[in-house]
Amino acid sequence: MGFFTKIKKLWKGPGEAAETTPAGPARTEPTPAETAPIQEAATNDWQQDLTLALRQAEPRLSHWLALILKDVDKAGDALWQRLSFLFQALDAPVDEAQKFIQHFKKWLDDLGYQNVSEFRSELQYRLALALDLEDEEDERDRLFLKLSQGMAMTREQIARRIDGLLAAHKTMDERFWEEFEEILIVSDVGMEAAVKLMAKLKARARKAQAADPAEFKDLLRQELEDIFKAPKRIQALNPPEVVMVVGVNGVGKTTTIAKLAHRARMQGRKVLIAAGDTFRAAAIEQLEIWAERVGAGLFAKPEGSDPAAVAFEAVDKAISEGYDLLLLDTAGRLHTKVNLMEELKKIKRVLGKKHPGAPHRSVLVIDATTGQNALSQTKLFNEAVGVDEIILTKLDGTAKGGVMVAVGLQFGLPVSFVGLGEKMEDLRPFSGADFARALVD
Amino acid sequence: MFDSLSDRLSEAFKKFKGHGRLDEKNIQDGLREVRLALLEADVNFKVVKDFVDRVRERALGRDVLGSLTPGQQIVKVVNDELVELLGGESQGLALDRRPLRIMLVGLQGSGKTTSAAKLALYLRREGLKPYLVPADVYRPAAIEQIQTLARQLDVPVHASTPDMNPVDICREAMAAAHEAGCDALLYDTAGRLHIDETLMDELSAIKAACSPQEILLVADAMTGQDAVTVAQSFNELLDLTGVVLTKMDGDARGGAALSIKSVTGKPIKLVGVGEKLSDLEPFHPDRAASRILGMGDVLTLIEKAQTEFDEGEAEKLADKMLKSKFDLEDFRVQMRRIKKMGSIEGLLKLVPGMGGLVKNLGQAQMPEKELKRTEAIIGSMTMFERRNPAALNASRKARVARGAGVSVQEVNVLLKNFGRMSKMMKDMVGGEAKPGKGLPGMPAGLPGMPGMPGMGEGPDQGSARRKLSKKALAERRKKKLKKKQRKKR
Repeated sequence: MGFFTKIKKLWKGPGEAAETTPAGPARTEPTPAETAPIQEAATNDWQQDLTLALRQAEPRLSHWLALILKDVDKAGDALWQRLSFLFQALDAPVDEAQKFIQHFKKWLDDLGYQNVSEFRSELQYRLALALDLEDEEDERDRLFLKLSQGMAMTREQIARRIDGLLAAHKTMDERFWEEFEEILIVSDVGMEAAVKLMAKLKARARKAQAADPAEFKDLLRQELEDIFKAPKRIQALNPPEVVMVVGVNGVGKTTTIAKLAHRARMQGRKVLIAAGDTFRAAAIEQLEIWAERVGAGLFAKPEGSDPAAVAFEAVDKAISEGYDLLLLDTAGRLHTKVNLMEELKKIKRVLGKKHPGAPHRSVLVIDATTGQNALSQTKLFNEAVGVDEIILTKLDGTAKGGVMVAVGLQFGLPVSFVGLGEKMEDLRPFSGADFARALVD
Repeated sequence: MFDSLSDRLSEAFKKFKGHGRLDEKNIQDGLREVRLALLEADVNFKVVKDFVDRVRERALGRDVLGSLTPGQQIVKVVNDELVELLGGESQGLALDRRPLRIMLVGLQGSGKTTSAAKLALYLRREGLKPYLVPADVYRPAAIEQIQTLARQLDVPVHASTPDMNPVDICREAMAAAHEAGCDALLYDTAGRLHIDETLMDELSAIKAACSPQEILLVADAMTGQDAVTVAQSFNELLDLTGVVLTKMDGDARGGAALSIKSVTGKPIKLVGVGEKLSDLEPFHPDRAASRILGMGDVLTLIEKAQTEFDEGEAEKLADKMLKSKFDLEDFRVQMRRIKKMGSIEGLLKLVPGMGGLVKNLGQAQMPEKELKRTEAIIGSMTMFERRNPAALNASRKARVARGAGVSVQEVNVLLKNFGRMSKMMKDMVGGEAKPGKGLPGMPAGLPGMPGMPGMGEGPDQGSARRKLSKKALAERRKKKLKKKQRKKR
């Protein structure tokens, strides 16, 4: 597959073990002890110290990174040495480790970053992806942190209002629910969904025999978790995986594709991006720049070409050149334009003809600032191409994205990622539980 | 744009019907529906509250006037309040100062760059010489995007590069525009979050450096309750002069439009209503209100026609019609003009009572496509044939059909329709006998429309129906509606 496959396997051991027994560090133990002295013959004190520190540390990425970056505040040879030392310590194949470092160096050069404080979180993001560690508790916490930062404005408002609400009422009576309804509407949940959500909450409260507003937060959290529960899906597929990204104008499809490509690259997959937006001026150039930055291949035809033809030929290229993942961009279109939606259907048909099962996923991108119109967008895009999952972007503003509750209630479509900022690392897997936690805690 | 809000409101208005008098009880019921309709349209929660309270106050206790039913009366009250909410009198851009400097600001993806290009075209039509200044150095290829659009419009664009400082770009652009002989600068700034202090400070710096006369917030019509927060933040920092509302051609109910004005006090000046660069319109609160209430917007239609058809040409054309010399070539020219006015769909929405028709059309075929086909058929004829449609015999028709890639029947349908249309025009023009006077462009420009073959109908049906012009059809609908209403009463 690519990059770091071996590490992933190696990692599985300590990662899982860490939860149960302290056997984890034991497995990584011999490596630093063996390799470091062989190569450097203990010429540097820092290597010995680091080895010791790593062995004593909790087997967690954030802890290791903290040790690696200790006393390093600028990008430079010291950092690269320390990074390769970490890879060595983890018994990673040398060439893959070098590749990782080279990529990272290039990225730093491109963006002109110098200080560790500027790129630390990107580095951790890359390591987590490369080492397949995103599911670890550690990374989950980081995601939660990011999510709550992003939603700070939101959370403050909603949480404050809910707290105020809870303080003002002794029982969950009619007045209580009325005020809660208002909070939901201000968060863009919408009238209909608010009524539904409240009915569910009331039923839950009755079942749990809870009348005390103190228990309300728990009820709400459970309910939101339920709404955003992603159904199990068959993950196996015939490569290359084809993902079609659709949405209305200006929701951030192109940027999201770049971020998805970046993720996949860091997970060691070979990615091709197809520039299916042949309508908007300079959309192709925009993707070109992104593809170059994240190290993905690009397939494009001149502006004004038939997007279905782009899709067709891109699949050709993806198959013949052995790509693992094809990300197809499409032009932003308002969901009410019948002819443009027909165009999408055609693109989908063409993909399916060329490569059975493609597109394996159709992703609808929705802007978190959107109000009730998101329902109409979901409905019409779903009718046209069958949406498999939703990516919610721009959640780092003050918008609450509450309409996703309505979308979740009505269509049961899972939200797979959320966009929490402009950086590459700011596209994060979405979990309903985290969302609920970030929202009401 | 406001169509589904109008659907919801007319539902609400039904609640008011059948009462001889408006009392607290039936007003309460009806207003609940109004409230729901507005909330579903993403109108800000607080704005809705105030709105409903005001309507209630004004409607309470009014006796039914002889001529107005309670339903009509409440519609009138809601209409008045809507106009008030949308900003009363319409306010255009302040175009009197030179050089004119307009700065566009907004969130990412709200449509600033597209609006800048549309605005450039708009200003040129107003007789100014626009100069586009790309000041978005952050998003990849943002500068290329505006350069491409500028090329399409043939408008000069400032030579910005991504490594420049946006404030410097804007400052230097003033001299450069002067050199290029332009008198209207359009600053396209990068999209930013209203809570991003660094980038917001950059906007203040640009404002200080260029002192633009107009600072317009570009806002997406689909925005939810957050629209107000965003508009307030931008307004507090920059003291906006107005708002451009984009993506109004979707099914967004435009609640943002209602809220922004009411909360910031800044008028909506322009609205983006389509993907074409000509799809930017001045915003008229009163007309928008009638559109919300499903009363059509004839004034905008007439103005659209006026920008495309000048009076002299209209007279020439009317003269031709009078002498029944209007031929297929003229028809083609007219058709192209209508296309330039924007999408047919958008035009139809402006005709009273046509809003519903557009919905049906949307399900069936797009009239644009029909137009294209008609154009192809005429394009396959020789100039001689276009000037003398009668000369088209069977073999010529077969050739034309082959050329246009259609069947001979379709050529026949076109010719038949055209014949009927010219006859109708002769009657019309002959009857009024005042070519070129009154509403310039209207009598000459729009008759092209009735002849459009097969608006969503098959080629073989509808021969009886197509005898009626749009106007007649609309009138008939109105009559029917009135009858219905009378029956209900």
